[in-house]
Amino acid sequence: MTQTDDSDDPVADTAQAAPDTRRRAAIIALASVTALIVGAVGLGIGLWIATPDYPDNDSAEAGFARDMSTHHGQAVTMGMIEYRSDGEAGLRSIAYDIALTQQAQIGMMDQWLNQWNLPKTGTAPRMAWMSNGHHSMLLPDGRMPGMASGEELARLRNSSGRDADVLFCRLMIPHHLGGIHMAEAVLGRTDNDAVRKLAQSMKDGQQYEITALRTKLTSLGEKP
Amino acid sequence: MASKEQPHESATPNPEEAPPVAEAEPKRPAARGGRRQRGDGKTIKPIRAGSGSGRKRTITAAKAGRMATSTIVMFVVVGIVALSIIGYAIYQSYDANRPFGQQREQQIEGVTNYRQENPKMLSRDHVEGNVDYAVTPPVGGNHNGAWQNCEGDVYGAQIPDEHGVHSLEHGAVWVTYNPDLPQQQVDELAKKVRGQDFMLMSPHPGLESPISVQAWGFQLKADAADDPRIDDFIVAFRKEASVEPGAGCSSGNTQTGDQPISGQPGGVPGMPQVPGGVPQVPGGVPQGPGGAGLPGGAVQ
Repeated sequence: MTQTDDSDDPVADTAQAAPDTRRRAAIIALASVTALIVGAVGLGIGLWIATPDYPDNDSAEAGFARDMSTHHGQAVTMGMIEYRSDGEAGLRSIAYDIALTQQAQIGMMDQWLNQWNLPKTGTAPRMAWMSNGHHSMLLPDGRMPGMASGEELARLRNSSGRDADVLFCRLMIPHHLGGIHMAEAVLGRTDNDAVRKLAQSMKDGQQYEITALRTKLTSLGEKP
Repeated sequence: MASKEQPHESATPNPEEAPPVAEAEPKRPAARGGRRQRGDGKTIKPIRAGSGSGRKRTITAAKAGRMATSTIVMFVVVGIVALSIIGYAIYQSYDANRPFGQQREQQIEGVTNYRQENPKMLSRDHVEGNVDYAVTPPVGGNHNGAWQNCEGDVYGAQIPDEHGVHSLEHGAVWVTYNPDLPQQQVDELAKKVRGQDFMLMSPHPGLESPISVQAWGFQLKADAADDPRIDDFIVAFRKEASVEPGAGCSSGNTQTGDQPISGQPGGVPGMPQVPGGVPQVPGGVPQGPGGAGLPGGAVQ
């Protein structure tokens, strides 16, 4: 049946020559465009799957990565100062631990920004991602909560022995409290697994370190 | 309009002309008895179906003539969109693989890319004393073992180039200005720097332009503090331009002047050199590389 129809084709083609040419052209165009669209859609789906949920430049995740890196940076500085002081051995060991841990975490957050293809630094004010439209949480001089002032750091650098130990604890405890606050803020704002995991470990780890620092203060004869 | 017409017209040939083949299909499974064979039958369907009915075909062909123009226009537009998506994806992939400095984010008008122009001058040895730099202010090259503290430090006086270059290596953006720059503009520049880690600022005698901003291998000369390219430069290069990713800015040299400090033990009066000793210099001048004076372990 279909064979018979095929043999009729040349007759029909002759009668409809011009429209058929256009039709064939249209079909070819349609086929190539369809192939293009299928390709583009496939590519789009592929890219979408391959780059899942990357936070954008104004996201809490990006703000956290940048601000916590700066916050951590000062903890590393203080840890290194105490580590090379002539203070109490156990406390210098804690300082060493804090410095290495937080420097490694800076590297992790740095890598997030690489992976998300975002600049390492932002133009938004510090902690703006946490403010929910309220006033800035920053200290009057622009420091993030818990950050030591330049004057305090200078005092730590110029202290020794027991004085350095006590000052280190007095500076690091609020520093950790500020860090925990920031970690909690991002935990309330993200479902990104990597961010949640690290923020939670910061929150837990720094809480334990606060306890350790308070214990040290007590053993140094200070009020914790 | 065209978009409504299109699915109907393009769908027309198949539903109308399919029945003859569809009728034939029940015979095929009976004869060949396999699903794979049915699949084959379907692939040839459109070709043979085209001749299902001469009368219908005439109508379809006439309509096809009319639809061709609008359909082609529409599909060309859709095709351009599709091509753009593919092209963009290819470009993104290509862009990301270009050397740092030649990617889209780093294309700021007026920025000199010395990594591309003169990579040889960007050597990274630690050296004592003064270094003769090819570019003023320098954008890289051999440098002192101590970096200049770059945690948003605003230095009121010239700093040794040899320390500033080390800060660039660590990813800092160094804002310099001609000492003649009006105070109001200096203040405006300082706002971009103060309190921002991986930033430092200092006057630089001998500067040809009022302002010059440096990262490792990159430089932007500007005439005024409100030049928006300065902010673009900072976003593009601060930390990003580090050739020692992970290196920090704290515990750097804070002394000003044009003479670098010595990294050798005992080389600088007042530098703490006693093992396990405490830095006693205001501002915390660091020890040189190798950390002479640092305790060997966590606990002593």
